[in-house]
Amino acid sequence: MTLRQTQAVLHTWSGLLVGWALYTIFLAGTVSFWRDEISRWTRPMLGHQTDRALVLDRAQTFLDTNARGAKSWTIELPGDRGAGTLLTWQPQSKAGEKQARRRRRGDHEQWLDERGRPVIVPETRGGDFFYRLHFDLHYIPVLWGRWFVGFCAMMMLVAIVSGVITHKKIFKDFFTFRPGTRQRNWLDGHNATAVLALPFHLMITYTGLITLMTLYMPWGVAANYPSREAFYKDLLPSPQVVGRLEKPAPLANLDRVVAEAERRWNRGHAGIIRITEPGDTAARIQVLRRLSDRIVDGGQAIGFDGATGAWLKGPEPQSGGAVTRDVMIGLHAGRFAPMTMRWLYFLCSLAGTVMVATGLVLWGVKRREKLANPAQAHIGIRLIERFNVGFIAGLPVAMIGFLWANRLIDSAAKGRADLEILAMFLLWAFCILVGLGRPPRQGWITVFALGSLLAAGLALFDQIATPTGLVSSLMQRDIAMAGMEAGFIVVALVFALLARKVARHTPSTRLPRGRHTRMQVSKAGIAVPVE
Amino acid sequence: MILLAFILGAAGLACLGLINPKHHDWALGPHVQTLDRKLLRGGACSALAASLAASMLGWGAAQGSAGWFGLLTLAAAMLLILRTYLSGQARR
Amino acid sequence: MRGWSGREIGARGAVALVGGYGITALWCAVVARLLPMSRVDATLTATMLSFPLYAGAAIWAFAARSLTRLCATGALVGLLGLLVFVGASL
Repeated sequence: MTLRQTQAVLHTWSGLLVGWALYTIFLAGTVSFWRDEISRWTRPMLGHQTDRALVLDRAQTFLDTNARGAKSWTIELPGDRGAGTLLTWQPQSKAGEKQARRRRRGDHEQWLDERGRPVIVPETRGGDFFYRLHFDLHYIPVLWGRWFVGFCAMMMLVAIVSGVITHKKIFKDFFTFRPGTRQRNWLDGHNATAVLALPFHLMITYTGLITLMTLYMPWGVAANYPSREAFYKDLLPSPQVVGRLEKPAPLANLDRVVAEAERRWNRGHAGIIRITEPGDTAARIQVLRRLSDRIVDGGQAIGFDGATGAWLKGPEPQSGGAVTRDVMIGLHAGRFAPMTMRWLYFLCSLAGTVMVATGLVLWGVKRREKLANPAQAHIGIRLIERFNVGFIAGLPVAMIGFLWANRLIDSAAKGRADLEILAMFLLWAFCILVGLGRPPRQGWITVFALGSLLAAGLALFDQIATPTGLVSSLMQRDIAMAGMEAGFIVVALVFALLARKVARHTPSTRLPRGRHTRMQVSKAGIAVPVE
Repeated sequence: MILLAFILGAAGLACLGLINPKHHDWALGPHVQTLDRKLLRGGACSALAASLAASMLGWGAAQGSAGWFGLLTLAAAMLLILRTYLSGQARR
Repeated sequence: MRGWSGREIGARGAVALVGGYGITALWCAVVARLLPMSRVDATLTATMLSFPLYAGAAIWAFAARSLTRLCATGALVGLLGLLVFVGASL
């Protein structure tokens, strides 16, 4: 076996074994570049142009009234693409009661709109759902999800490198995309999307591994530190934990504290404000920077005295290694990206998703064409072809289903956030069943058609039944929401085109070299020998 | 500035493509004398370097370096689509 | 040129997956100890470099001329890593 042949084998297997998972990870990651916009779309009652000073003032008043004497308050300001300010607070733990590890959703939290007024927001995960799906998956313990995603990412890295070695000639053969012939069509599509955005694919896969690197490779830490905690203490500046002194003192004016923090960051922007032991002399205010400010990930925390508003410490300088790692995390999440670059990120990521999808389909096509009688593939190939339909076409359709559920589920329903997510998985399962039950060609057409209807329907529903439709958004000059609605229409068109393309496609009746049987196209859309 | 970076990137990639005799014939016609390969390579390198510089000027050094690859991807995709669908070879 | 049997592919895959991880883990620890930087930087750098190493090991697992060669090389690299690690800890 030549080097290229060995790498072709490695590439096929590393890609195929985790192909569906990679597709899910890629698609969820792709839409997550619009995480803020999707979150805004799912919470339309929160306006966009935030009056920061007003919001902080009203937040402080609200928390002082409703969360007096709490252990901590947190104020999450929207970035320039988000909407709404989220207030959360942690009450003092009663004597003997163990501190709950994770605050149950809905407890001790309040949304404020763009003018700082408290608003009831129907419970939803919004864009955060797709973001978490991307690396935690869902319905399984977070640690398992991250391990599995990391495993897939490592396989992806191997697939990229082995793919480049196998197709070394691609850089010479480039610009010879040949739409029309069957196998070459899929191969060229796979190659084109892979090579066009190769720097992106390599970067996103490697940096993705880096974001959870101490989980996957804890051996460096184990070699140099007695424990994980010791390592994190060395790496991150820890805020001073001061117990409550039971000496009441009013909290300093937050707007002034935030302004001072932003000055110290050289015209940065505040993202999150954490106040421990508010209303006490021991109160501390920690201001974290907006992550979209820099390519380096990390909050550059600045600490202030809560009662006087005096600066205490921060931002701490970081070592070279820490900055390098944080740049990689920043590159992966792309939070820094201004709008033009965000579109580039999105398009490259979409190319990556198409690359994985075409790879999966290509495998089925190739295997079938290698058979003596392509019409009689064994059950393995047939199953994979049919699963491809439901998995690949079904996931984007299911994602639209999630958005539909957001609009349709009653706003006061208990656990509606989980219901939205369930709706997505149910619709995905339905698409997979459709794909299993019908010959692949019919399956693709059905699922694509369904997706087209749902996407177009959503844009129509929004225009008719909500204040967030395309026309309404344009009239309010809300470009982001108009973009979302236009996006639904584009998705509907793309699905319709894909369905049409599959319906019209006649598979090549050209035979592999050396065969002399005459061929025709069967009902299931496969080339079969003439009886 | 970003638009300039994009155009320079596309120009550089086009020069690289012209080194291939098939694309040279298609783009410039079979009767045009073949452009000197060294000239094309030099032109491509300069254009791509200028594209990187423009990207860094527009977005900042760090972000511009990252964004440059995205611009090249878009430019390459555009050239690919033009080459494939303008030539009518798609129907072959 | 004959293709590989399923067994050959499976064997190389297993060596790549498990053996590759073992060697990467070992050398990650070694490099973390040996790098002449601050403790936190050495740890971070070694960890960041381990992923390309793992990928390289997988490439090698399939590119090696024979399974025996592969296992022999792997064992050698592992042994070397162990020796260096022990030496660095003394």
